[in-house]
Amino acid sequence: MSLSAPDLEDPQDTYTLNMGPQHPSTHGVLRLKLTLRGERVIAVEPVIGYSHRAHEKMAETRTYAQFLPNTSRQDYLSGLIYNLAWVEAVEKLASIPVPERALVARVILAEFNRISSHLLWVGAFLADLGAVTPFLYTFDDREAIVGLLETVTGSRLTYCTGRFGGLSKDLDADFPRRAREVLVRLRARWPELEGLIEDNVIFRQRTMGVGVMTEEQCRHWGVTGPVLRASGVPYDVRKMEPYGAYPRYAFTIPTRPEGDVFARYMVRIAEMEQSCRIIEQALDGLPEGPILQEGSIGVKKRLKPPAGTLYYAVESARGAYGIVLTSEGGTEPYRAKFRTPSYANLAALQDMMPGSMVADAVAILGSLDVVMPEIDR
Amino acid sequence: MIDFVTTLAIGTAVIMGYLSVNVLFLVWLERKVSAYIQRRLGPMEVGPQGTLQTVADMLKLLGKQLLTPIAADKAVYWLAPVMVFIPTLCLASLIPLSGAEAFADQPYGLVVIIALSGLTVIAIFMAGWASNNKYAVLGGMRSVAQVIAYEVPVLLAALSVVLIAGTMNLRGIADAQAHGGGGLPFLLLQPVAAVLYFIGITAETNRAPFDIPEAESELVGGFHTEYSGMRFALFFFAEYTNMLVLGALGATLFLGGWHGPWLPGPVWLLLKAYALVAVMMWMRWTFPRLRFDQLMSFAWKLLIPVALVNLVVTALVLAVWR
Amino acid sequence: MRLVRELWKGAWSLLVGMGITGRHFVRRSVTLQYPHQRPDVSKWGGPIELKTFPETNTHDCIACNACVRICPSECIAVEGQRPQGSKKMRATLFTLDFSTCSLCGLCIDVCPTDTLQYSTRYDEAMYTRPATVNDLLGPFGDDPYLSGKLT
Repeated sequence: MSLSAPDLEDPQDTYTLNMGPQHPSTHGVLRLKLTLRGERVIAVEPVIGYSHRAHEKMAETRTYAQFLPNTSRQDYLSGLIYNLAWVEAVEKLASIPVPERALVARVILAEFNRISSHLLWVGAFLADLGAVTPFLYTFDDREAIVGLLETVTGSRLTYCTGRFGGLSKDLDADFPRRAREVLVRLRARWPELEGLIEDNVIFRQRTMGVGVMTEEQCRHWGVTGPVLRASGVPYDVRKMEPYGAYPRYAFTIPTRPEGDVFARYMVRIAEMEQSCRIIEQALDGLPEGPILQEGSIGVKKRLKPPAGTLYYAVESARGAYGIVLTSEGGTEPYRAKFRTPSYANLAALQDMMPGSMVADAVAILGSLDVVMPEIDR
Repeated sequence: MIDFVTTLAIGTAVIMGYLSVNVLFLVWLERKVSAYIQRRLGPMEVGPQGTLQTVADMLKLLGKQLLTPIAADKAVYWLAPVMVFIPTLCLASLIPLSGAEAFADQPYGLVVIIALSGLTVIAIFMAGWASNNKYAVLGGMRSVAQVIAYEVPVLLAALSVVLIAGTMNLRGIADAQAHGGGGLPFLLLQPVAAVLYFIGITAETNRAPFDIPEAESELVGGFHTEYSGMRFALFFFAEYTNMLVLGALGATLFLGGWHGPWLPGPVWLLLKAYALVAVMMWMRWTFPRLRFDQLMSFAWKLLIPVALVNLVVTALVLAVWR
Repeated sequence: MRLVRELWKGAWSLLVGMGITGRHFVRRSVTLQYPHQRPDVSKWGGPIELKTFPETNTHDCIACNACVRICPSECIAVEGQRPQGSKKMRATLFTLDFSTCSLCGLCIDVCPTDTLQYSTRYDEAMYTRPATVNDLLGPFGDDPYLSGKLT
């Protein structure tokens, strides 16, 4: 729904509504300044910065290993993916080899993290729309995944399991069996979510045709992730710029042409199934061997990568997460810049929301799957 | 005169006592139903299976400070929670409990009930207006529009039942299902009307999926934003009582009221009423919310035409048959 | 006619949804009633503690301060003392401020004597800020090296 020219220019009869930093919908501390005429949104201005904690500055004053705990706290829902992204970026910069078992294990852990992030999104999004029950169901599944990751890493939400040259803790012998049990349980859940949510006429009426983004708008704002794929662009960093062990596995990139909130929901559900496929293939081909390169680089001996700049991108649950890492040969990075997907996705709200109604604003914001800490870093 | 006053006093006391216990029960039931649907347990600590939890919550609410907004319209603000409750109390006395017992038996009982249930709308708007809060007014206006829109299908569905039963007396309608109309509950003879009635009362009591006026994840907090403590409790007292009363009315209109084997009349009526309430709770925890304009167009563009068609068809069928 | 079909599909979807929640209603709950029941935390990486080695029945901290240097939150404080006639130091003070510890495990990985480990404690709530500083030597009592029982 676009606005006609007179709508945009006529300043009369508009009022400003503040969706303040304190939200009933759990998206973190975000302030939206909505300009409304009656029930229609004319303009929206996101105000961010409420959870800025100076991660990029901390990266300049800590060694590469000491920065590891920070990585998970940027996006706490894809904490493992962010942790591994930092590790892989530094490994690339310092040319540190990684054993085969660690490469495959990283893929398994990252995909489980992605599924758990999407599951939480499904729950939170439905809770925004008024159905509280799917929140509890997806958290039950998430408990299975998080419990599995707890047995591997020792943590449940913010992980610090990556080390330069592998992982800090190995997968135990029972892990493939437990992981397959979790996959069976997840796959039993998809038809239930379909019947409860996707087919539901009320859900379809609330989400179809709402918050449409065209491909040009996505390119203009730099939107990535499921939001971009729901507008028809098959861009996924795991396929476009493959990293780790991903080239070995067969998986598709789900896209939808419509670009509305419903399409984003469908894309995320399809992505979860693709992640299950990847995990299955990885478990089948899990090699034996060490989980960490000898020497415990970066921890037992200080790491001094050669001078240079590197851009390393991974696909997090929200989109393309990029690290620009500059080293000057010292033990600490000279500069680490983090390109977080939610930052661009949130900016695209300024194109998505105008024209829709106030009641849809919550649905649109929820469909973006924004995590504020990674925007503010 | 003394007799009338005594009857009034005893009757009111009995009804108030029953309704209070009912609210305690319904709040506990809601929490347990929602918990079991969500694979959790609900209140467990206070009392066996958490049955005393509502009592504890009421005690807590009693102790809360009653804040009044500075620029609120004091008299209206004070009166609104009281007024939302009075019509419901009258309604409760009009539903016949059994063939022999009823608190008040009216020859046009159905019309009186429908008229009284419209009075709560005024109280809701009073609450929204008197709060002197932009969002409360918006919530109150939305609630008023919603209730008015959904009263029409309720009335038309009830009228279809009246056509078959031939009387507006509630006792007569219940009897018609047992003896007169061939012994069939009107649920079977008028399924469309039953569905319309059920959707209508879900919207009347602001239950999901029609709970925009009291939804927290929307921008407005609803008409009861500025009410705290016991005043807030009164609104919810009224909502749960309304649910029960309209459920009991639905049981009388469509399920045969107090008729049923073995158990005494009032028990059957309550069982049927609670069954309807339980289904409303089930719906609340399953479906997302309807957007307000979708809610209104659903009522005006779908329910009311269907209700009118149903009424006309019923009248034609009856004219042909009799 | 299409309208009727849409209506029917919509109504049926609502009934299917209610069927799903109804099925869940009768299944057993997944709640763990804490504190009457406790979770399985055998693999949980909890607050850092010193490991007790079975051979010596004590820890093996040599107060090298490697963990102090690597901790990103600077929450560890270690002091040591050399026992009589020994080349290796023993820790006399080992505190870890749990309010700033992020459980990253870098101290565990860097320890040359492998004497640090995760515990499985999870209910670590305290009422005062000084109480958040964990004394890791607390469970150990008198140090056998420093008192001369072991060399």
